[in-house]
Parts: sequence; structure tokens; C-alpha cells
Amino acid sequence: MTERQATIAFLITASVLLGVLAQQVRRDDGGSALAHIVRMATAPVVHGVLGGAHRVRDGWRGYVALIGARRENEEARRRIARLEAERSRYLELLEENRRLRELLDLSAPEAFPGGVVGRVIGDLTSGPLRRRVLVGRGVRDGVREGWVATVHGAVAGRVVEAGSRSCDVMLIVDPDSGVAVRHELDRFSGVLRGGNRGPARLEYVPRDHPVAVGDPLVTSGLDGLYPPGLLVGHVRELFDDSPLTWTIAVEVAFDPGALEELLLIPPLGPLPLGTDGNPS
Amino acid sequence: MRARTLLVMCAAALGLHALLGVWPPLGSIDPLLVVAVIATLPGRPGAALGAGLLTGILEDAWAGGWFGQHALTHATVAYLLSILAARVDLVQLRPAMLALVVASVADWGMQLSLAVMFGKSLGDPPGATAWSIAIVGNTLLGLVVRRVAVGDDAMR
Repeated sequence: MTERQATIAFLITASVLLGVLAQQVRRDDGGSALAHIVRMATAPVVHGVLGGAHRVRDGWRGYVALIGARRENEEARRRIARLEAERSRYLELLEENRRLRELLDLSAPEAFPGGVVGRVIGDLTSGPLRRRVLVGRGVRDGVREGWVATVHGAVAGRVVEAGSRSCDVMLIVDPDSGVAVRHELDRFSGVLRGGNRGPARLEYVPRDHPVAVGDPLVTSGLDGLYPPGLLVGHVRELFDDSPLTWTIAVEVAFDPGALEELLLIPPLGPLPLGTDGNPS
Repeated sequence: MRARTLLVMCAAALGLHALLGVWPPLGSIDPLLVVAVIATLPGRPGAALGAGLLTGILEDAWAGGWFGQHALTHATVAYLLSILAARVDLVQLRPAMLALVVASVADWGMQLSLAVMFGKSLGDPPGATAWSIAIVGNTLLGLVVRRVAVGDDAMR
């Protein structure tokens, strides 16, 4: 046997013996050492192939996930915008509901059975001498000329012109307005004139009546226009314009610039009922 | 080395192996390896490979454990020494001693390497004393066997 042949024989023999040995050895993981050696030898190739495949797979999954995320993001943005709009609408309705509740609670339909709630849809104020608003209720809703407009239980004005679907309300701060009022404590009465931009005025009040700033004034009903007992405003300031009488500046009980809803009631209708069912 | 001589030596080595095993420190001596080394000294790789394979298989059969372990180590040692012997005269006393020392160390070294490679616990590996006994014992025994083989003209 030549050396070359012996070398080949040795290599074959050694390989066979190594295989026999490896096949006999069982590893802790249950596999044979031969399989372990084969795996070790082929690991770099397998890792390379699998690693590349995994990278491609992960990249594809990431791309698909990104597309999905973008769509979800766009959908979420649309939804947020829609919800924001709904929320604004909801808050608006909530505020309106609160105002209407106040309006109806203080001047409940039971107290004014024929009352109609109307929304202020326009400001008819023009020039320095008109303080009027347009209300979205008219003859079709039962509103007639002369009806009284109240807000939060206080007198706000009177319907001076009624259309089919709307009406003009002259506020009590209009210079042409006159309301028969009574001092709620001392019971003296007078006529309240609108002051337009300034406070309303109650003139020619005898000075022997005790009047103090903050005293409430209510309708007396003597004018045949307004139901008696409705709050008109409070004494803001006293002017001694003559030795015998006061002129009283009155702060009306509502904000003319912030009217949104009004309760329209028939003139000289039934008196507002108290909680005990008696006229207040 | 003639085949008949080799077989006789193998049989004697097995018997000696059994005797040496009675006293554990001498169990490190490997008579079958010595026979394989002596068989390689003439420098014929084919014969050396056969001798190494034969003594290794006998040792595997004798010692138990993984079959093929000693066959692999003996065959490798015998083959490599025979390659060397084809270029350098190892029949002479000193080269023969050196070959026996190297073969002893290489055989144990490969056995330990195989154990590590296949994940077998080495436990308490052989210390310097065991190594020394194995190297010296194998070398002395090898010189005796060499003497017998030369006397028998088996080294041709």
C-alpha cells in the first residue's frame, strides 16, 4: 500500500470511527453528537439563509403593518375630527338645555300654561333709541302682539309686532318702553322707563319712601300690560333731582346683550304659581 | 512486522493489560498501544494503520465505553508515526523511545480531546503521576517489545 493509499484509507477509517463514536454519544438534548456536529458545521449556512429569510419576512411584515397603521391613523384622524364636531355640538346643546331648564324652572309652564319658549334669532336694535330683538316664534305658535317676554323669571320686554313665524320684542330698556312697577318692600309704585344704553329710570318717586340701593322692583300690573309680581330689576342709584322726589336708576334683571331664549307669556295671564300652588 | 507476530503480540498485550489492571497505578500503561507503535517503526503506513486499527478495536472491546475511541486514537497515532518513520529511521533505540513517548502523550491527548468534543465529563482527569506512569511504562514496555521484535526480525 502506497503512502497515498494509506492516507486515503486513514481518512476514511478516521471518518467512519468518528461517525461511529458520534452516533453512540447521546447529548442532554436527546440528539446524537453526530447530529450536533452536523448542525454545528452547517449552522453558519443555515443561519445565513434563515437570517436572510427572516429579515425579508420581518421587513414585509413591517411594511404591511406600516400600511395598516397609516390607514388606521387616517381613520383615527377622521374619527377624531367627527367626534370633535359632535362634542362641540353636544356642549352647545348641553348649554342650551341648561338655559332652557333655568327658564322653564323659574317660569314653569305650569305657572304660565300658555307660555311659549322662543329663541332670539336677531337683534333689531337700530340707532340710539331702539332696543328690540327678533324671536323665532310667531302667530303660528300662538304668540300675539302684547305678549310679555320674560327671562329667568324677570320681565325682559313685550311683543310689539307678531309675524307668522317670528315676533319683535321691545325690551324694557328701550326708551319707548314703560313698565308699571312696584317697590317690593314698600309697595309704592311708578313707571319704569327704558334708559337704552344706560340704566332704566323710575322717576318722581316721593322722597318719603325709604329706598335703598339693591331693593328689588317688580311689576305692579297697573298698566294692564304686564302680569303683576314679575321681577324687573334692582335699585342701582338714587338721584335727588328735586326736593320732593327721587329719580331711581334701575339695573334691570337681565343682560340685554346676552339674550338667547325668552319665555313669551300672555299679558295679564294667570299669576305665576308658587310651589304651594298659590299665586306668588 | 508479520501478521502472525502482530497477532501474537496483541494477544500477549491483552494478557498483560489484564495483569497490569490488578494494580491500578499500572493500569495507565497501554500494552496494545505499545504494540501499535512498534508496528509502525518500519515505516509502512498501510501496515501501521492496520496494526493501530486492530489494537484499538481490541482495546475498545477490552475497555468498554465508546466503541471506536481507541481504534481512532491508535490508528491515528500509528498512521502519523508511520508517515514519520517513512522519512526518519525510528527503529533505532532513541528515536523509538521518542516515538513511544510521543505516542503515549498523543494517545491520551486525543482521548481527552474526543471526550471534550463529544461533551463527556472529564471528571477527575489524569494527573501528572498517571501521565508519568503511562509515558515511562509505555516506553519501557515498548523497548522490551522492540527488542523482541528486532530479535524476531519482525521489524523488516
